[in-house]
This record gives sequence, structure tokens and C-alpha cells, in this order.
Amino acid sequence: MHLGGVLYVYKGEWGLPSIDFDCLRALCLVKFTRCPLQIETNANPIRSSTGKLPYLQIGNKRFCGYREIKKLLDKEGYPIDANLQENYKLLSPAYANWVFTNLHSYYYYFMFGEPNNFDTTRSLYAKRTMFPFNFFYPSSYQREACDIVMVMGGFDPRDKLENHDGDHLIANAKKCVNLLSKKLGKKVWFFGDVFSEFDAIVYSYLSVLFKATLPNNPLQNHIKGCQNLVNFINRITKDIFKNEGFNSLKAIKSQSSNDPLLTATERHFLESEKKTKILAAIGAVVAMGTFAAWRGVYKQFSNSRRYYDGLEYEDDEALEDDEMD
Amino acid sequence: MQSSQYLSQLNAFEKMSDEPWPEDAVLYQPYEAEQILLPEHASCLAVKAYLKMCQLPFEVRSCANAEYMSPGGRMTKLPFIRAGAFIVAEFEPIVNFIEHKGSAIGQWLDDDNKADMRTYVSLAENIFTMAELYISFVNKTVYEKVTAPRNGCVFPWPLNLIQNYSKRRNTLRLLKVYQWNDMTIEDVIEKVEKCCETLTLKLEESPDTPFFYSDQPCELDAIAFGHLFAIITTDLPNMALAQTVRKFKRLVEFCQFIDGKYFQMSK
Repeated sequence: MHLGGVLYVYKGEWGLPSIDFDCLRALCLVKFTRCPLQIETNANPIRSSTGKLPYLQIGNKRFCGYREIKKLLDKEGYPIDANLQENYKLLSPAYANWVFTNLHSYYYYFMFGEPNNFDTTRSLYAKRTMFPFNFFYPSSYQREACDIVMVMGGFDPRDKLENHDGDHLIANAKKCVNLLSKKLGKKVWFFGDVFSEFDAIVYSYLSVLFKATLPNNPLQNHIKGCQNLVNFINRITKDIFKNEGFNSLKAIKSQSSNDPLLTATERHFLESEKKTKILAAIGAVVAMGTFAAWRGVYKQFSNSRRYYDGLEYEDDEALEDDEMD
Repeated sequence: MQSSQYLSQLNAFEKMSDEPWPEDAVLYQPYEAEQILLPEHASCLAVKAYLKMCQLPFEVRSCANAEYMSPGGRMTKLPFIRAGAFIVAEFEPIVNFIEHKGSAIGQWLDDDNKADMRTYVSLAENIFTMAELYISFVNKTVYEKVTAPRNGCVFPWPLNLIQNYSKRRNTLRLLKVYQWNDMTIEDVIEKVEKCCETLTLKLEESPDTPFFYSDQPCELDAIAFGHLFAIITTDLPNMALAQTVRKFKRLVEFCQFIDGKYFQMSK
């Protein structure tokens, strides 16, 4: 691998390394194969040609999207399925395809399509995107979710909530989780002692659905019931993503000062980011400046008009005088 | 709207499970000689093979507007069957429906094998349908020479252009959802090759028997036959898919066997 490769992903939450399915998949590829890449969470989706994270930058070259990253890693000698038995090498994509059919529409509907959940998800994505872009990129996910749910689920998420027909999505997803739990059994990975792309994909779907704090997520409790899947998720999060796992609650608690003299608003202000403070300051200055300018201009304008009116009046009189002569 | 119908049907299946398969079941499909497209042909063939394997009587009716009569589905929406008061579209729902009727094949498989088989069915259905859609709608020569004239042939002049445009747009959206839209033809062929390899491997697990699972047919046999047979027997300006499938001698033999056993006899 060339030196200085950087993988750009969304920052994590709830102790996970990333909040996004595709980013998690890519992270799993890199971490499972121990590929020496630097991981950067401060990224801008506009630099990626797909308009989404993850992307991998090596020198001037960019590899955008999961498939290109996987192709590159395979070529550079970090193939994820290398240690599998021959027949498992074919089974891994077959199972992955089956999980995709059953969970993809559920994932996109409950992350981005469900209107109550999308408020939560949007703020998650918006916090991880730079200022003017945070108004645009989270909703691009929503548009994508609309397509996915319309094709795979058979209804339009932009419709009224009563017309949303998520029951069969939920039923399919639950069946799928049951089978996954059965397949995993007491094994370390799905194919015994060796990791595969299938493990990466299952981890990426289930970890987000299991850890996300969404108002409406019926699969979460179902996953909790499958102890071996919970162990699977927690083990990967703890062992493999020890350094990347991120939790905003913990991070804030360790920073904030517990001064009893401060009021609630002041404490909240201290906890908010520096960027917010600077933005607030700029906003305040602009507002005051505008007000002052508006007042000043108004005064001048009205003064000048009075002056002008007077002149005009005199002119008119003069004109009338001329005509009378 | 489409899927609420689907759900209410699912609920109704439970109540209806004791009623036998009606004698006058009808399978609707587009006109086979003039109109039908490769992916639709494949799924129709798969359903027909499945019904024949179950030894259920059915009548085939060709309609120009079959696609618009269908209650909806995930991929091609075709074929759909009318059995008694029920209208069910696409391979998987039809299989579920017949299972509720209690006359399905493949009941002798234990739960593990059944789950396994469902995985293979979903793999074969996804990969082959997507590859067929890709070659019919993304490949320029195939689209202009075969797909567009065939799809538009039942409509009068200005309407056929509109229908072609909307069908192509819907298909491209479907390919995008399944993440096939930005693939090259090489990627598609590689995917099909992998899928064929997987199926061959499965077929060779029981080398003495003609079917995928021991000596009785199951859903996997039907869906694999439908897609493979449609791919190798359909003439297109671009034969890349057929050539890929033909490389797997074992699968071609399997198709000929099923064709002889279930389709030639009835003629």
C-alpha cells in the first residue's frame, strides 16, 4: 500500500466508529485486514465524486464509495475473503446479497424515511458536515431512501404517515435477524474462525440499528433478544474499533466544568462548540450593524427628502411666477 | 397501496389455507413472441416451472397490458396468477402463496436446508434479474434494437415513446437502488459468473441426482432453470450473458434436463 492513504468517514456515535452503513463497511474492510490507513473523521462529502462518504485518498487519487475502496484493497493485497475456504468464498457474497434484500429497505426506511426518526438522523449527519453543506447532504440521503423504499418496499415515504406500510419490512427484517442469529450460533465469525465480507456487512447493518437512539425502531428490541448477535456487535466494537469508537455524551461530560455558580444557559453555552460561539458572535454583530445602518439611512433619507421637497416647492413657485409674467 | 394489498393478502392466506388449489387458476403474462422482455420472460418461465413441479393445473393467458394489471412487486411485477379470489405477483409471493395452500414442493427439507435454499433463491433471482435488466436497458444496442421496439409494440405511435421512456426510467432507478447502475459490462459478467459458480458448486454437492437438493425438485430448481434457460435461448444483439452461462456445462445440462422433463412432455 502506498504511504499516506487516508480514509474519510463520518464520525461515530453511541460508541460506534461511524454512524453510516457504508462508512462502517469500509472501516471493517480496513480494520479486519489490518490495512495501514489513516482514518479521518473530519471530512467533507463535496470532495467525494459520489457526494457521500466514505472516500479514500492516496496522494492525488480518490477512491469514492465502498465498491471502489474494496477493489483497491483487493488489488493492493488486502483482500478481506483471502483466508476463507474456497466454497465459503462463494457463499459469503450469496449471504450478503440475501441480507441486503431483507435489511436494506428496513435500514433506509427507519433511518431516513420515517419522518420522526429522520429528525434525529438529520441532526446526526448535519453535525458531521461543514456549515453550508449541512443543509444539503443529510437530505440527499432522504432522497435516496425514498427511491429505495419505493422500489423495495412498495410505498412512498413522502406520503402521509398512515399510508406508510412498514409492517412487511419489519416482518422480513425480524425473520432475517432470527436466521442470522441461528447461523452465527456460538461461532466467533459467521464462517467459523475466519472473518469475511459477510461479517462486515452484518456488523454494519445491525450495529447501527442496535445502537441508534431512534424514536421508532422496532428491530432494536428484537436484536436485544438475540444474545449472540449482541455479543458479536459488542465484541467487534470493543476489540477492533477500540480507538475509533466515539460517544458524544462521554466526550462532553469529561470537558464540561461543574461550576455551581453558573446558570443553566451559561453552562449550556460553555458546552457548545467554539464554532457555534464564533458564528453567534458574527451573527450578533451583523444584526446590530444592520439595525444601525437601517436607522441611519432612514434618517438621512427622510432629511434629504424634506430638503428636496422644499426646493421643489420653491422651484414650482418660481416657475409659476415665470409663467405669470 | 400496492403492498397494503400484499399484506391483506398475506393475512387472508392464513384463513384460506384449507381451501384447495382452484381448477381454473390463470397465469397472466405479456405476449411471448412479440412483446415480452428478457427479465420478464425469465421470471415467467421460473413460475411456470414451479407450478409444473408442484403438479398444479393452470392456464396461461397472454395480455398486452399484463404489467399494468399486476398488483405490483419488487422487480419485474410479472408474471401474476389469479387463483380463486387471490391475485399474486412474482416468484417469491407465489411460492409463499402455494405454501399456504399446502401443496408446495420442498416441504421435505429441514429448516436449516430450507433457510439455505431461500438464500440461494434470493441470490439467483437478484443477480440474474439485475443482469438481464442491465443488458436490456443499459446496453445501448440491445435497448435500441430489441427492448424499445418490443416494449413499445403494443402502443400506438406517440404513446410508445412515452411508455419506453417511463419504463427505462423506472428500471434505471431500480438498478440504482440495487447499486448496479454504475457498473460496467465486465462487472456484470463477473457477478453472473460468480453466481453460476455458486450454483454449480451447489449442484455438484449431490452429483448423482439431477436436482439441487437430492432427487426431488424445489424452488431453487425452478428459479435457476427459469433464468438460465431464458438467458441461453434468447437471441440478443449482445450475447455476453449467454456466453457466460454456456461456460458452465453442468448448468446447461441441468436446464436441458428440466426442459425435457417438465416442458416437452406436455407438448
